Amino acid sequence: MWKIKENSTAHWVIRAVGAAIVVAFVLWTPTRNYQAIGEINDALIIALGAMSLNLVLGFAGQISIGHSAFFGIGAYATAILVKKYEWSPGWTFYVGAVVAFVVGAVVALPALRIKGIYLALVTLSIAFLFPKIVGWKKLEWLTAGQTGYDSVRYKQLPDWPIVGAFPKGQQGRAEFQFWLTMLILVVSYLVIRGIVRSRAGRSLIAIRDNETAAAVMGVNLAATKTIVFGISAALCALAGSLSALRSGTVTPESPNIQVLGSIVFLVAMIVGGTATLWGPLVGAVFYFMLERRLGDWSKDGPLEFVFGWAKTSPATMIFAILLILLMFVAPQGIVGLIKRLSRKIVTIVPAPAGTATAAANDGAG
Amino acid sequence: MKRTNHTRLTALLAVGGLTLAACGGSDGEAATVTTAAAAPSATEAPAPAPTEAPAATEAPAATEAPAATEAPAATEAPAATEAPASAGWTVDTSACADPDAATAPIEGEINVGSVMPLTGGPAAAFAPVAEGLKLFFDHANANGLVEGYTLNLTIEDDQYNKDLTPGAVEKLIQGGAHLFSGIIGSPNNAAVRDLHNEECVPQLAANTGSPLWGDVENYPWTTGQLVPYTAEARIYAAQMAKDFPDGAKVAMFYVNNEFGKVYYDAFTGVADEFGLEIVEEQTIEATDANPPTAQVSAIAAAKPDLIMAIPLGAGCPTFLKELANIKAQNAGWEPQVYQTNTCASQLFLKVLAGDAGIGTITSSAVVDVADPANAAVPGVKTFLDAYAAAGLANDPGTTAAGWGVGEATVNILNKALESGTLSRQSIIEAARSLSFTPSLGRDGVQYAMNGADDAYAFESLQVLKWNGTAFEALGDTITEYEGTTKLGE
Repeated sequence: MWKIKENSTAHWVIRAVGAAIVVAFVLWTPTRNYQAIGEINDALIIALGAMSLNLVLGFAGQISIGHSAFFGIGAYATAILVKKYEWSPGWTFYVGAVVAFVVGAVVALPALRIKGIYLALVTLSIAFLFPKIVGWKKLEWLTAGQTGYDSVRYKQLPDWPIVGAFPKGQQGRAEFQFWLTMLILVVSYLVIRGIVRSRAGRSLIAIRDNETAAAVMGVNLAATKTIVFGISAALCALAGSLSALRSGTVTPESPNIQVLGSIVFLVAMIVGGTATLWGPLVGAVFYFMLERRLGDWSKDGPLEFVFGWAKTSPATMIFAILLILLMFVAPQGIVGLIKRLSRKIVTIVPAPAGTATAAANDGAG
Repeated sequence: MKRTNHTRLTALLAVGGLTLAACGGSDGEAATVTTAAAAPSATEAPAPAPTEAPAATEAPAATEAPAATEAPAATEAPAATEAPASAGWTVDTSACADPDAATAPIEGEINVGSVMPLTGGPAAAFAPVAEGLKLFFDHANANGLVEGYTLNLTIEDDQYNKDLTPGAVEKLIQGGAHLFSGIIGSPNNAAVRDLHNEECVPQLAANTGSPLWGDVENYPWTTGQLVPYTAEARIYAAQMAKDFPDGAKVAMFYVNNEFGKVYYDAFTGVADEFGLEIVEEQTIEATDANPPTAQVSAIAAAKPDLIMAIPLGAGCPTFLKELANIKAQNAGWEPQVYQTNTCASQLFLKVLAGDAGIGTITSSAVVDVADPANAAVPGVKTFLDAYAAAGLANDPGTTAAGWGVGEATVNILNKALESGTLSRQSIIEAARSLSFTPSLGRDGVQYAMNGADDAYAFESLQVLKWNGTAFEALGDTITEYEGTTKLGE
């Protein structure tokens, strides 16, 4: 086991290697075929939803099961503006995010008074309400009712600087969507990181761990909760906009804007590691890839021997078993597990307290 | 400290905003270019602009619908003279992402893909369709129905979640699928329609009755399998008008989802034309399994002569049973009940509804394979033999739906082979200019498509009355609407 001083050369090398792996992955992905890119895209959209939930649930401790509604707000904003008002999809992201911010902040108002399971119930009702509202007959002029919208897409892909022109057909669309998703993901990551590692982030964690103590220390509970809920909702709406462009269809029946979506974000977040910056990302990719692969594995892969007797696909069952196992092995999620294991090999020793860098590393990793 | 953090955050947001603005800006230009291009194209009616027409203008179209029946005759007149030309309907491959791949000959093995719910909630109801499709492909391979070729069928799972359908289709195309057949679900098919048409991979026999699949101009590579709901609604209205020549009062009961909505629009659109007055409308949520007591009571209060019921799945028998209860409290009120043909299974009408199901009027394009009286019909016998040989037992009626998709696919492939080369292009051209008699079809039911003139495969139905033991035919199969269904009706 090695001990490495924080911000020493060795520490920077580790960081550089980590960054290089991420960059290499990002650059390599769009060179693959559109199926592979599409799969990553789908996973990253879930990841974005999980990241937004992590901000409000993981860091601030406010339970939300209503994020599917914010996801839906983004999806509907994009669909309505593109199909009904013929906007270019790029601009609809802002509208979705702003609307979701306002709705999120309003939803946060009950959070000022109620906590825990009661707040969960309020957000749950939002999740149930949203598909009903967009399917409501009286709003049909706007939301297209139960039929919803389809073919929500870029009619023609824009030319981007640096990335250049995209190939024709699905390959180009997949590459474009990947870069768009990456852009939004990076911006969202930086926003969340900025919040979490700032004074605001320490307020959030204080609220989560002990609200009374936080208030005594001078944290403005009302403002902090409302704003963080709003930001989280806005980020989730971006994920929704991306998903609308991905499949082109937005209907009240689509599972991700129903309460199931909230559960998916929740699972992805917990699997990856609650209250870690990378957790939701890792968790969503893991969750998504596993779910996609399990069907094949149980059909004619290594798991056929065990589950071959099942008449219908046992993927759901295997997935549930794996989740339970994972929670036993890694209650802190995958990122938590990696941290724990890596500590056995390399320990980063923080600089002595009182120096400038020590403070910056509180909170999250 | 505080200020630096705030500045950092603001800076980040600003940078993020600017980056998005940058990309948004170029999108804006792209959009203006395309809308400009779309404007003139509306007159010629190709590509993007009319795409929106069906969805966006559905409501106004419905109000104009009475006129629509006459309209086809008038507007189609010139087209009819061109009919011989459209028999050789061709697809334009120049817009394809890879035109060469669309015309490349397929040799040896034909890879057919499909996407269906195999896991998750709806899988239970739809699993027999997948089994039926597999069954027919095995049957076709064993009997060499496509001479010189082996058919490989791969069905991917999308859990009936339209967000998973594009990924599943991409996986199959990358895995070498030449064509797709029988994808289940309206939103699921809609979610991959653009993908199929841009990549020029045939999306055949979409397993839904939405009228969306007849959009030859914008989506030539997509065809539907089921009788469009618009045609079915018109057939019921015609039957109602026959029974009540002096007009009748109709109450509607429908499920509040996409299926119910499309159906509702279709029926209300033609009601006037057939002298039907809609006196009451009641809805039920798709997820609501409770008996619709309040809704049926409201319908009873309006005392309609007829009820057009559009429930979903288990909602079919639930509605009939509740109606029987309410009827018992309203002596003398004996409405005739119509249910959509999604309810026309012995499971719903016999096993689950019991006596309450007797007298229900519905329809079907295929013979009832579960009725022993039909066991000797050659097509049914072939199906039942294969069904028994495969050890299946669950639900022959639903399995037959998958079988029918397989049969249509094989007929399309054989027609494509007649053209000399089997390619993705010749397959979709065959699908849109084929006619054949399905082995499980009722008398007079035809798969018939003819380019832009007839964009729907099946438009004929036999109106049926459930008598407690079997479906009784009411009159002959109604075939007069074959070739008349129009998009956006």
